[in-house]
Amino acid sequence: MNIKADILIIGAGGAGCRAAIESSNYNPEAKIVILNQGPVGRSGLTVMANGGMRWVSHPDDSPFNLFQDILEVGCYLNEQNLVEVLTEEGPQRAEELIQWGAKELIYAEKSRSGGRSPDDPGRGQSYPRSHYIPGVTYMAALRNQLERRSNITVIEDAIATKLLVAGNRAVGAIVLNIRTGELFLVEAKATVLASGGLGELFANSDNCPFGMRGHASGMGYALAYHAGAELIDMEMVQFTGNQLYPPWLLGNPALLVSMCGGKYINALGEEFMKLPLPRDAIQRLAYKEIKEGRGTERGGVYIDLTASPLSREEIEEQLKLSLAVEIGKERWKLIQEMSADNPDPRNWKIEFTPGGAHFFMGGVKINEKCETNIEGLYAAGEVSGGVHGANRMGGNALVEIIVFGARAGRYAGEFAKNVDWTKPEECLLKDEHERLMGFFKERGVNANTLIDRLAILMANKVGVARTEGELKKALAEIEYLRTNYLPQVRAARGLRYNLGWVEAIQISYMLDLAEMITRSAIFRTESRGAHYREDFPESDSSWLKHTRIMKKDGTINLGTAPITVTKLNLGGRK
Amino acid sequence: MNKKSIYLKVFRYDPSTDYAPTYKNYEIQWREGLLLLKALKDIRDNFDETLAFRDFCCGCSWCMSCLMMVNGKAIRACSRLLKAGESLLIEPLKGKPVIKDLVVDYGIKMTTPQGTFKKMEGILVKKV
Repeated sequence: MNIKADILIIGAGGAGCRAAIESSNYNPEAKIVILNQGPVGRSGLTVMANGGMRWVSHPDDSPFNLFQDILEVGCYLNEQNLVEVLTEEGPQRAEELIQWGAKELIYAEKSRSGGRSPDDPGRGQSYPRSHYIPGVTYMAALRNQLERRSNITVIEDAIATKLLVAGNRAVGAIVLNIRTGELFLVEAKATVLASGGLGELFANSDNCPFGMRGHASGMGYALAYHAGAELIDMEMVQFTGNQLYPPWLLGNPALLVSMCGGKYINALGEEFMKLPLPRDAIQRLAYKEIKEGRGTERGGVYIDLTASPLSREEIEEQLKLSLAVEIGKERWKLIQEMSADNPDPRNWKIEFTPGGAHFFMGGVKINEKCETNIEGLYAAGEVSGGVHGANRMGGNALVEIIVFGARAGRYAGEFAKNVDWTKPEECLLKDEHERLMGFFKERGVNANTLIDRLAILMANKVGVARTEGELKKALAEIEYLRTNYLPQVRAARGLRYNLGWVEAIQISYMLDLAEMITRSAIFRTESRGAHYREDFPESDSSWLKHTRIMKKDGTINLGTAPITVTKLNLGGRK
Repeated sequence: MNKKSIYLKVFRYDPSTDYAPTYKNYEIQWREGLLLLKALKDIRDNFDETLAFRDFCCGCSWCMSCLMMVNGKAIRACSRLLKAGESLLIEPLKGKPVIKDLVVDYGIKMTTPQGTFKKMEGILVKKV
């Protein structure tokens, strides 16, 4: 029943696939097992990405220029060694991906500044370096490479429910095969965590279009935490919000306003902010309007396109661009079908709400070899922290996952070559089996209602604008959910593809993660990047350090960790 | 028949316990902008928690995780707008092994360890 692998990779999004490919390249003899919660290339956040990427391609540009821009956007909280790797290896990894068949969309005629694709204004770019590879072709290229390598075993529809450690050494994981409901043990010499982000933890996240699942439960962070890994900057959630109305724009990133010259209007009809503004400022100002009672009935603010200088056709063109309509034809047809009575985008009365999580900058602390503090445990992609600092520059996530995915695969392969398997400390499979089977109860609370409740709580109290009072209330409520509802969580009987059961497994990890985020947010008594404290609205130079979380005696131990500085001295910065 | 309802006849099959597939009828409330994928989630959340379908959604009709047969045609459930009073026959994508109900194995070329995943593949492949 159990599997022995050289390298176990948890998550087959961009980072996981790239790690598998690289360790297979490094050692074609190694046995690599890669898990994914859904079908590879048809689920997960990478597929959803609408493709913006930034890498150095302009002749006058240099990695150091990009490095500086990234640090400025990240409010100097970035791990500089990681940013160096990102900027230097980005172009090579991206070109490689294109060679493998990822389709770069080239909008030469639309480019404002000579790049291959249009640059969004106000995103902190000092050179044109925008590129555009829609997530779905990105993943198709990676999946194709996976299929070519016979030493990679892909297990689709499977999640890790526990990371196994022996002493300070990662030795594998307990895995649930969702298709059959079977639990099995994967013993591995090296484990790569590439489990992605946590959008499902915040209501109205664009990671969960139409309110469906985005395979972004954030379980990976909690798995790493329970295994004893160090996590940094857990308060740093990037918000972009989401559309509430019209129904055909649900789950679409709110790019339209900045691209089409629209205005943000409150329920009283006043324009309450003047664009362009950075993403996080838009979020905060919209949040303030709603909180102070000037929001719409649905709890949003209006985006007014009537005053847009663009014609109807031009706005439609921008919308098509954001949908990568060459691939998303069906969605465009759907928009046309749904808006048949009111086809002109300028009359749509779009309602927008802030507070949905878009990306998570924090995560497992890694070095430039993607090593964590646990021997044999590697992390790459959104689950790792430090690359983006306090705010992520648009377009860096898709570069990060291939750069660090490749590194994690390479160094995990190297590690696995020189060590032998280690037995887990005790046979945990039986305990885990008992725990998971315990969710099959007749009466109780369904996990999805609890997840919804937690997500609303997080968006309201741990969202774009935070205060100590609200955060402490959130903490109390998380504790309340954990003590009163968690023991009652149930799922319908049935082992095969039982998603209620999967949610029941995830909710306890999501509560742990929510607590980590809230505690870190209380701890950082300043505002920096995406973390905004109404009671501490300024940045404080004494906070130029990471918040760090570790498990100690079964509870969250909160401390700080210094920033790794390489090229840019932080003296005199705030 | 209520004009404000939607009638879904859904293919149900659990290869580990069922001798043969069955069809189950659901009546749900129509509302403006209701998509088939969302309607299936409503059924799972509110009426029948055992209904299995791929509930991942990329939101842009890109990923094709929610492909299924609707009235005999393969479509993406995320991009199918429901009309009031409609009756639909919902079946799993044809030509692929059924894992449960509407969930099929899209089939990455897999090299699984011998004997490990004997039971993993579905038994039934829908041909029609």
